[in-house]
Formats: sequence, structure tokens, C-alpha cells
Amino acid sequence: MADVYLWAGAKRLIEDESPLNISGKTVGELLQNLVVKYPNLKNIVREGVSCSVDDKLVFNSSTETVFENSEVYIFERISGG
Amino acid sequence: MAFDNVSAKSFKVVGTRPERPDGIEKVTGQARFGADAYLPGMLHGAILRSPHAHAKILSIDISALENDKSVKAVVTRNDFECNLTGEDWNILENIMAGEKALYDGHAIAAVACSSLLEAKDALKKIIVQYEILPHVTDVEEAMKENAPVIREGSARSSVPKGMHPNIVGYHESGHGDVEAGFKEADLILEENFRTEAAHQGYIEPHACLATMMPDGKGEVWCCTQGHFNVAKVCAKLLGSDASQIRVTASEIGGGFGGKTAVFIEPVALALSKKATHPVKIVMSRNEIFRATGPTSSTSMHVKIGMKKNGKITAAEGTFKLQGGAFPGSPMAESAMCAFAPYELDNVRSVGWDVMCNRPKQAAYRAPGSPMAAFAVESIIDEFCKRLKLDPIEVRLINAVTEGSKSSYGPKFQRIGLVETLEAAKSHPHYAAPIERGVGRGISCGFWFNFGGETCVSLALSEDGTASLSVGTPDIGGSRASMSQIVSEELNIPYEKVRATVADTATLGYNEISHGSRVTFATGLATIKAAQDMKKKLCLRAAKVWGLDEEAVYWEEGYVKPAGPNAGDHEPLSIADIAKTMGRTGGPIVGHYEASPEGAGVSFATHIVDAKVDKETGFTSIERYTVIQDAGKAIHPSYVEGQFQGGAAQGIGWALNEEYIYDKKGILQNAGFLDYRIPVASDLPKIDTEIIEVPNPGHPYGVRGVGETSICPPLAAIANAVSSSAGIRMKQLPMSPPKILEAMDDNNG
Amino acid sequence: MKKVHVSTTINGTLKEFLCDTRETLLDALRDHMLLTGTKEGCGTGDCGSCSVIFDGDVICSCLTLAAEAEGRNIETIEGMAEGGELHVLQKKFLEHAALQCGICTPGILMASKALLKKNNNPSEEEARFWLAGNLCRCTGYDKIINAVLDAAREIREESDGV
Repeated sequence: MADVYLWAGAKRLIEDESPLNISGKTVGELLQNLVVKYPNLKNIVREGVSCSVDDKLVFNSSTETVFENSEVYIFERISGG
Repeated sequence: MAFDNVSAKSFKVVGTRPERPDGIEKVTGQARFGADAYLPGMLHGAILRSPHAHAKILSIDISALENDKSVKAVVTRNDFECNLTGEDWNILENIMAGEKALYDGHAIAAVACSSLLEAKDALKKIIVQYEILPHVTDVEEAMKENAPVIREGSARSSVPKGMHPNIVGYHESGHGDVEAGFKEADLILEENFRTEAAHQGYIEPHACLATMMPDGKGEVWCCTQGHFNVAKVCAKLLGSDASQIRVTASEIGGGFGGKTAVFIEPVALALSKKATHPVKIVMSRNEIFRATGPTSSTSMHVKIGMKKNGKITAAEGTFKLQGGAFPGSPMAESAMCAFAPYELDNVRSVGWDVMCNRPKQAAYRAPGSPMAAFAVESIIDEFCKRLKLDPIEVRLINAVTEGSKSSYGPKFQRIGLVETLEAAKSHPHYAAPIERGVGRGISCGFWFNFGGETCVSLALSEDGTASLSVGTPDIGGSRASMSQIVSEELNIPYEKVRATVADTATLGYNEISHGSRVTFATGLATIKAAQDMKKKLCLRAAKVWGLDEEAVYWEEGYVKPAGPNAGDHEPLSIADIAKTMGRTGGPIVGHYEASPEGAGVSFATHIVDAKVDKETGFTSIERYTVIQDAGKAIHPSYVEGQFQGGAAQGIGWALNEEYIYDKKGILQNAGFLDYRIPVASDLPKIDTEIIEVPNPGHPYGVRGVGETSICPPLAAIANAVSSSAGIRMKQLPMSPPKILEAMDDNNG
Repeated sequence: MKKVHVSTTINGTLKEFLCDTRETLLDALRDHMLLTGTKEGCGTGDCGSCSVIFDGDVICSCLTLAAEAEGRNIETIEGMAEGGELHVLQKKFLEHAALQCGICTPGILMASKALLKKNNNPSEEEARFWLAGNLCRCTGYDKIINAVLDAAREIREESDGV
């Protein structure tokens, strides 16, 4: 199970306190499992999120590997100029 | 042979300054930009635009054009797809109005004629009936309860219930206990800041030449930062397939984020489809200002608590950004970048995305970050002045390093903020005496940088030279740096590499040239493609020699037999293998396609000396120094160019550039005469220092460099103005009338 | 509408074209002569991308009517390199990396050529003020000014050597 931290704006939508324990071998799986456990996050995830896995920024890739004890921060999808 | 982990520790070509491969075309006038394409039978398109800030479109009467022989096609919203949702709908609504005109300059209809003069005449004959609606162009006004509603139902799910429909996005990030942190502070400062919208101001107008036949097959030539995205968007808006619309990226005359968006290509295709002729559209400068995206204007509040020794105890910020008549302002970026340079135990950042009757904002170099830095770094400077602390020392005390928890969540990997601050401290500029009347300002800045979908192809020619095809338009000299990388990897001369930006039919999808991603991601892909080619060269040599793959190795541009076979065969050069490749197994091509992550974030520190003329309120920039972490500079001249260009744009934004709307919501300065970008005589020499703290996510250590350079200037100049004139400017631009007003307030 | 017949010398060659009376010299150069090296950045004389040399003076071709070209002598970027040899300004722009996107480059080269013809030893300030009518959004002008001053130095050395 990875430790998942949501940005504060998203945290308001669920009752649990961070970190959330979510399983998943990839970012994609983890996000799927997150939404299954917390249906309130469905729209926010659908609208686009980026994350960091063990301090590496992952803006788009859903296949990025997540490990058993990974620390995953999720934040809103951001983009550049 | 494991090529994956090979990284060139000492470089031969990377880090040198060869002449750019597209240089001669550009100094002789031969380079073909967006407006430089012509086709047989080509028509000229022109677009009718709303003269109102907010109006219901009651009717569009084109009957006067029906018998006009010069008019070959007319299109309105009805000529585009009608079942779009989400961002596709937003783009369509922005490039051709539906039920309402949402801002001054919003496209209403378009025509195609044999000449541009005829097309402009034809536009005058279109009669549009409008019902003028109340409008709003100010971000604070647009959030008020009684503000005119731009559109219902646009809010993202993150927005708390019960907010005004113009509020379409909410972001909150941070950690710790901000209130407790403020209690620990010796001094707390808080302030409101405003910045106006600034336009990217690329000198080349948006331009395209498009052909679409009745069967839905299209060809587009255009200046864009992302031609694959143009194909995708055009297909969506016209009900075609992305693969049926082949887009070729012309040379691009500046973008800075503004050419990541699509405006005229779908219109030209729709006109062409109706006229069955190619249609060219070139925007006028007036249209560019009114209808393409400037960056957001902002209203911000920042509160910081500090100990007497300079340690920050808590920081809090609210960043309200209007993004025009559509969702999507970079408010989350503002909120996330605002405090990123500092290691904070207690931090909270809030962003609001707000719609106004203005053009849809487009990305502009580190979108969201410069404004936030203006607010935060201005307050830090105020602390330094009040607590009599050195501005670099205070930033060093609080600076993030490897392992620091960022204000937006994760810990930083290896970063170079402290290195830029140390370099600033020991820079001759910082030690130089300050002349009377001159103020010196310091600011840091932060930007993320990006990776994204990338695909390159590297083909070996029979003479041993190499052709590299990339899918990211070259906006700042990337063909030079990509050629250097191929030269480095393959040990062939730089001049023997030809890098081309391939069209959308030639390569797989490439993400837009944005987010400072090209040298990082396309560079990474080019390294991998060259390594793939080396592997194939080894295989080929092994095959020719009748050896196993493991029995050969690559060294310095040659394939050599290894171990017991050493000496049995003469080493084969790339040229040797290339010469016979048709008979030994066919063409040799290196590939790479992936969505690389791991773009390293980057920091900069700027030093500026500015002098305020107290009679006129005019601020002159006397000296400017940019210090930024590039990770690894592939072509230092173009890295310096990015540093200098970002600083110059920041100077314009800080001192002059602004969108001025009148009471009716009409843009008052839609031209370079009244929207004044810096000219050569406005600027001093802009000194640069490249710091190289390698990015662990890239084989050469490359970080993006294009955007971070625009983050510090706004605050650095405001801080210099404060030192020079004794006034704290809380509003941009710091144009002479605003400086005079602030000095009056100060004296009164 | 009747068109106007214009005879004019462009880069040393006599050219003829027909134009609408409202047409600018910039549009005539680009659309009739296909000399697309001269660029349009604003169409209102503010950016200098369309700079050409007109009877020896730098002008904005977007503010000049095509019909005004009758009997004149016009130099454009396409005439700058001669006999397969780049002009010293062109060489210096490449050497100093004085262009990023390159859209303003033809106009800046034409304006710089006119400057160095009038004054082959400009100060940095003189060069900056001379080029103040030519906007560049990419470079911050630093490398452009370096290239122009270096070209001036080389021109002086060449003329001293004769």
C-alpha cells in the first residue's frame, strides 16, 4: 500500500485524514483504486491530476511504477508555456 | 551491450556553441514562416469579430454576400461540429462564437476571397444583430454576487458549492499549522497585489494555409508550438480524423506559450472545405491582441511571518486569476509556485479560477508563476528592509535544497536554488557600489518543467551522415542542440547531422513544445534514438563478421570485435557500415518513443539595478543579471538567449505592458504602439550566469530553461524600485503614472 | 477596380507588377514578387519586421503604398548576400547567436545595414537607439547589439586595410 497525500482542495471532499493507504502497482492503478475507495474524488481525478512518486514528478504517465511503500502526492494537472 | 546506462561524462560537442543549422535561411530571408506559404488557387480568409464585450448574437445576415462573386466561402458556428464537450467545446466556442459574443474581438464569422482586400470588404457587408449584455473584465468584480454571468455550469468539481458561476476552479495546497506559525513570528507582513494581463507578444502573427477536400482529408501549414495538437483539435472541431489532417509546422516566429493554442486553423479548413480551394489566414496584430490569449490578470493576497533572524515561520497566499471567458487560468500553478523556493513548516496556498469577458487566456512562459513570485518576493524584500537583513542571506536561510519538503507536497530531488543564490552573492554585480538614486532588487523564481509524449526517428544515410526527425517545433534553437546530441552520441561531426521538424504524418504524436520540455524530452529521446542506432550498428557489424552480438562493442564511432575476436577484423566506422547497409540487412534507423517523466524543476535568482525618475515616474533598468540552473547547457548561447529573453519579457511586464479595457469592455491598446514591449534602447546588457546542477532525471542532467527566467523579474524590479524611490509597488505594471501616484500617496 | 502598373528596381533588378491602389509595398513584395523574406509583424509601422531600404533610407514597407515604389530603388533581405557570400552582418548574427526565432531578423539586418552605411563606428547606445524601431521578443537584444557592433568593427578593419 502506498501512502497517498491529496492536495488540500481535494482533501475536503473526503472524510479520511492523509495519508490514505491505497494499493496499485502503477499510477494508473493507484488512481483507479483511489476512486473506488473514495467515489467523491471521481470528478476531480477525471478532470486531470498530476502526482509525484517518491519525489519524482509524474505529470501524465499512468504507467509509472508505484512501490509498496511509495509516497505519492496528488495535485491538480498543471501545464507549461 | 547495455546502452541504457551509458551517459557521456565528458562531452565533446555538448556544451559547445556551433552555428545553428537553420541560421543561413533565417539571415537570408529564405526561412518559411507561417505566412510565407502560397499555393495555386489560394484564397485569403478574414474573420469578423465582435465589437462588444458581452452580447447575445441575435442574427448573422450574410445575404449581401450571396451574389458577391468575389466571395468564395462564408462560415459561421453552424459549419463546425455541434456535439463537442469539455475543452474541445471551449476551443470551438473561443474560435467561433455560438450564442453569445464573450469578449471584444470574439470571432463571429469568416469569409474567403481571392484577395485579402476583397475579404476585408466582404466582412463589412455581414450584418450582425447583437443584444448587448452587462460585462465584467476585472477579476475581483467578476467574483461578486451581482456580477454578470459569463456562462452557467463551467465550474470544475473542486469549486465549493454556492459560489458565483464565474468562479470555475479552486485549488488549495500546503501543510503544517499556519496560524501557529504566525504566532511564532517576530514580524508579520501582509499585502494585496494586482497584476494586469500581459501578451506573449511574439512578433510573428498567427498564420496558416489550409486545404480541406470534401472527403475530409486536410493539409495544414501553420506556425504553432504543437502541430500534432493542431491536427487533433482541427479533427475534433470539423468532425474529421486526426490522421486525415496532415499538419506541417512552419518556422515559428516566437510563441512563449501563446502558440500552444489553436485559433485560425479550423476556420481556414472550414472555409477551404466550402470553397474547395486552399485558404490562407494571417491574423492582424489587432486581432492577436484582442482574440488570442494573453496571460491572466490577477488579484493576490500574501501574508508571511518571519523571525528577526530571517527565518520564515508561516506563509499564506490567495491567488485569484481570471482566464478570460473560459476556465483554465493557471491559478493552481500560481499557488504551487508561489512559495516553492522556501522550506516552510507552515504554508497554505489557495487559488481561484475566474471567468471574465476577456479572450481565453493562453499559457505564457511559466504560466502563473511570475505573478505569484511578484507578490511573495515583494513581501520578502519588505522584511529584509524592515529587519535590516541582506536579501540574499534571508533567501539562503529559507532556501529549499535536496530533500526539503516543497510547499506543494513532495520533497525536492537534486535542485540548484542555493547554487544560484551563492553565485549571486559572489557576482560582481552584487558587490558593485550602488549609485545615488539607483535601487538594487533581488528575486528568486521557480518553475516545474515538463516531459510528455515524444517520438523521434534517426535515419542513417548511405554516406554515414544522419537525419534526425523530431516532432517538436523549434522555438529557440532546438535543432542545433538536437544535432549536437546526435553528434555527441554517434561521434560524427555536428555538420553531418540534419535535424528536421517532421509533419504529423511522419512521426507518432508529439506533445506541444511547451513547459520547457523540448531540450529535456526531445533531447532525451534523441539520446535514446542514437543509442538504439548504435545497437543496430553493432548488430549489423556482428552479422557481417559472423559473430554474436556480445562479441562486438561500440567505441568512439567504431564497432570493434571484442575479447578473443579482437584483431580478427578491422573496426568498422559508421560510414563503413552505412555504405553496405542495403546489402547487409537494409536501412538502419534509430527510434525512440515514450512519455518521459523526470523533468527537473529549476530555480533562478535575478539581480537588477533600477532608477526611478521622481519627476516623471519613469523607471530605467541600469543593470541586469540572470543566474539560473540549467542542469546541463547543451548549447550555452541559446541557454543564455532564453535567460535574456525571459528577463526582457519580465521587464516589459513589470514596467509597461498591460491590457487596458474601457468602461464598455473594449480593449484600448490593441497594437504595439500602445502596448509597448521593450525596445533595444530600453534595455541594458543582460548579463547571464549558467549554473549546472544536473537533473537526476536526464542522462546529461538537462533541465528545461525556457520559462524560469520570466519568474523573478517582476519582483526583482519592484524591489529595486522600492529601494530607489522608497515606494512599495503593489500593482503591475509600474508605469510612470502609477509610480507617480504611489509617490504622491507616500508623501500625502 | 483598375490596377496600377509599377516599375521599380528591387535588389538591382528592374521589376514590374500590377497592384491595387490600396496595397502596401510589403504586400506587393510578398504576394506579387514572392519576396517573403520581408515580414509583417504589425502592419502599423510599430515593429520594424518589414524594414526595407528605399532609396537609401530604412522604411517600414507596411506604411508605404506599393504604387509609391514607381521608379525607386529598393533593397530587401533577399539582396543582402551577394555572389554566394553572406554579408558581414549576416555572418556576425550567426556567430553571435543573435537570433532565436528569426522572424525579426530580416528587418533588423536591413536596419543595421543602413546604420553601418551611415556610421561604421556606432556606440552601443547609438546602435540601441537606431534599432529601437525593430522589435525582438526573443533575445532581449543583447546578442543582436553584440553582433552589430562586431560587424561594424570588421567593416572598419576591412576599410582600414584597403
